[in-house]
Amino acid sequence: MAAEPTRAPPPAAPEPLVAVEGLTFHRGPRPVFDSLDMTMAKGEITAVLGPSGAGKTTLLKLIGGELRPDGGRVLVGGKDVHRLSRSGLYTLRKRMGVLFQAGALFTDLDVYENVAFPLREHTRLSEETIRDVVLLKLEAVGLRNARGLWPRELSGGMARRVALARAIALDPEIVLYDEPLAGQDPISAGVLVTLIRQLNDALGLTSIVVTHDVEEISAIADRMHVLSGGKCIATGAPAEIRASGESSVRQFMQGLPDGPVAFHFPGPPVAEDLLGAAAGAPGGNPAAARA
Amino acid sequence: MLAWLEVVGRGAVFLVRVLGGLPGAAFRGRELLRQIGRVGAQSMVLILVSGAFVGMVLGLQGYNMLVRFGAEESLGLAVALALVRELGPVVSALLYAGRAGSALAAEIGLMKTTEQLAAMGMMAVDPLRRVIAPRFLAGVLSVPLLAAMFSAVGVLGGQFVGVGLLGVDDGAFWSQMQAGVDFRDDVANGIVKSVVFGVVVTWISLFQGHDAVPTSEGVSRATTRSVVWSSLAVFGLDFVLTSLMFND
Repeated sequence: MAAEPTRAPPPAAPEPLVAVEGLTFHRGPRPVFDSLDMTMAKGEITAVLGPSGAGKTTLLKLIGGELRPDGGRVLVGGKDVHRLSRSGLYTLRKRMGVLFQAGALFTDLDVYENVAFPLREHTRLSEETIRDVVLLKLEAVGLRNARGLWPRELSGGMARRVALARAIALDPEIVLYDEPLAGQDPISAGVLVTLIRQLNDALGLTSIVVTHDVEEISAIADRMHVLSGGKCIATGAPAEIRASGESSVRQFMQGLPDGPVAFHFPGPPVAEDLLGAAAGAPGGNPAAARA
Repeated sequence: MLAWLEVVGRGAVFLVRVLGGLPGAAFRGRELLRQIGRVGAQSMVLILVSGAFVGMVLGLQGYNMLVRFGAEESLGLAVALALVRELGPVVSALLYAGRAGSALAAEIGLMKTTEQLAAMGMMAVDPLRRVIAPRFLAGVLSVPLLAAMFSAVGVLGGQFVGVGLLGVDDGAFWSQMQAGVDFRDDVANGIVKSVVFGVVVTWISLFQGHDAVPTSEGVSRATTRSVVWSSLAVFGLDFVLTSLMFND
């Protein structure tokens, strides 16, 4: 009897480093997430996309333990972020770097001291070693020669690159990027996107990027999640997301002004408002009336 | 009422956490000195000039009153007691609240608005210990020193007007003061008052900044609230402390 031909085992699914399970979160009465599930695999760049107000930044704050969910859990490296003690949370955060939307550089420290800050706080390295690490991190983002500048002297793109150098100063496992490309000119956006990919590969990071810049992030992301209505409506590689037939995904990816996400804020039609006003009714605020 | 109680509760938790960070702040010598420079040393000109004018007014008013009874030689005692017991601690605390307290509230509020505090927290550094505690300790150490300077310059201002301009005997001015001012009852109680004011004003200012709504308007409101609440607290606590200390 002939032996069965051996088949190569299928490629192992990437191990998830961050898992969001049944996450529910409200801002006041408004639900932001309604039983949200998603995973971010180790070593990959995962992009979280969605229109403004979809809760992308809120998701990062929940992953980082800045906010507490109303239900569900967030696991980072198998640990439930919101069940950790303060010291446990801080230990976990030492494994994370966060790039805030506007950089959040410390305005009373220059570029060098901003990058040195986490090293001074968490290590007992000598001054020479700190200098070497800071200069290497600044070299990685192309700003070694800007180390003497103050945050007020930096452009928006430069400030984000300095913040990126600070975020990776402690060689974290995970870097969270909050809208890294918002408000950037094409050159700065291109530089940042390239940096995210290069740093992820060179340092063996796991990157989670929340953004609504579809084009730029599609070029570097390994996997994408699209948020809408408090849920993840699509997950997959950039090409799979682009090919999606789901109307909400198509509207977002193609930038269509109207669709499942309405152009107009919900309320009575314009004719009713205008005719109501002509008939003597004072112009009211539909949002206030609903509240 | 419930919202107000909630703010008081948040403020109390904030204070407890800041107090927990004080030992660490005391060991951050360079940062502590930098903050003492900002909240204390940079308030000195305001304190010294104000103290001199307040002392001069006390000298003038005190002389006009005492001379009616032929007791103008007690002017030194009157000026010193007024300054050491009341005006030194109270006015210097009010000036500190207006100059340094408002700046602390605005600075912390802006750090919150620009996500600097959140960034620090995400770097596993507690902003209450790293940012707030050194400022708190600097304020608590600075206010009694500022009050002492205010009183000292005020006495000199009173002497300038009383002795230099109105002709009160210099020896009587100083000897009456020396004989009548008691260190424990007057000076020490004045120091206790200024320490209490330093704690309360710095706490209110830092808490208002930390609790600010992270918008331009929110920081503006927090800055205003820090001065208003600090001033009211100083006046209210002054009455309480005075009635406890000087109720013979």
